[in-house]
Amino acid sequence: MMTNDWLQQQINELAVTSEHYEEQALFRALAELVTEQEKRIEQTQGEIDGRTWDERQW
Amino acid sequence: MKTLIIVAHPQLADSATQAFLKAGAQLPDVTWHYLDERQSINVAAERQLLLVANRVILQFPLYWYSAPAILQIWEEQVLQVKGSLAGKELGVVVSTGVKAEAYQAGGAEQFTISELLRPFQALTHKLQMTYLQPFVLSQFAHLSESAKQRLFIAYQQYLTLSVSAAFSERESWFVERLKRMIAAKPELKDRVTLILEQLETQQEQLDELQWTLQMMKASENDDE
Repeated sequence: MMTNDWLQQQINELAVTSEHYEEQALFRALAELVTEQEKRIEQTQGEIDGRTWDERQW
Repeated sequence: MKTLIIVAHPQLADSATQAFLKAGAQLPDVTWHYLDERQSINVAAERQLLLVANRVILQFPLYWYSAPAILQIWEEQVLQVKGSLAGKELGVVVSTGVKAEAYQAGGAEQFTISELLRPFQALTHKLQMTYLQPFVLSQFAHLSESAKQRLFIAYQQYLTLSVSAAFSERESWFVERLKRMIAAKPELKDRVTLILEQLETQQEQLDELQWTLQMMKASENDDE
């Protein structure tokens, strides 16, 4: 799987190189959405791990 | 979903805010409709526009805590209590020359935007429509470039996203936009397709994790 950094980098490059305002705006907003998406993935994974290792569940 | 934007602005040509919003409204299924004060209102045509819309947006600068006169005239002539607007959505896009913090109890303007727009909320209620949270643009000219770009997309989402959209719907909104870009821009196809695929992979990953978590919570509840 490609890394998250790769995705952000690709989006940011397009945001910078695009000559159209609406594309720039879309890519910048997409970068923010992906940041939020990755945060949610990490938090949800963390909560699953926490519950998996909860000693009360052993 | 079809969205109709009713624009009331006495000096439309001079308004950078409205020009900016008009550029944002260039989307499929979104109709930009300007109320020209110099022309009389064609009531039948206006009602037909309303009939085919699912979401109606009233868009104007705040003048003396209300809308420009043309919108009041339009309301009086076009709206009917026994019309067929029931079930549709109504949103207000309002621009102000005063900073957002001024509109609160104890602030320079004393009243919130929600309070000042109450007549539109009442009207929506009377017409059995659903009232959307107002979209407010404060001191547009003073915004930074990045804030304007953020606003541009937020406005497009206000026009086209479902009310209180879940995060998964916001993800899907971007997926749709990227698909359209791929179709319209062959030169960007390869790069945007890779981004789209990765975005969808992560969307699936998040969905699966959330499903797993829900299952774990449900089984814990069963154990108790």
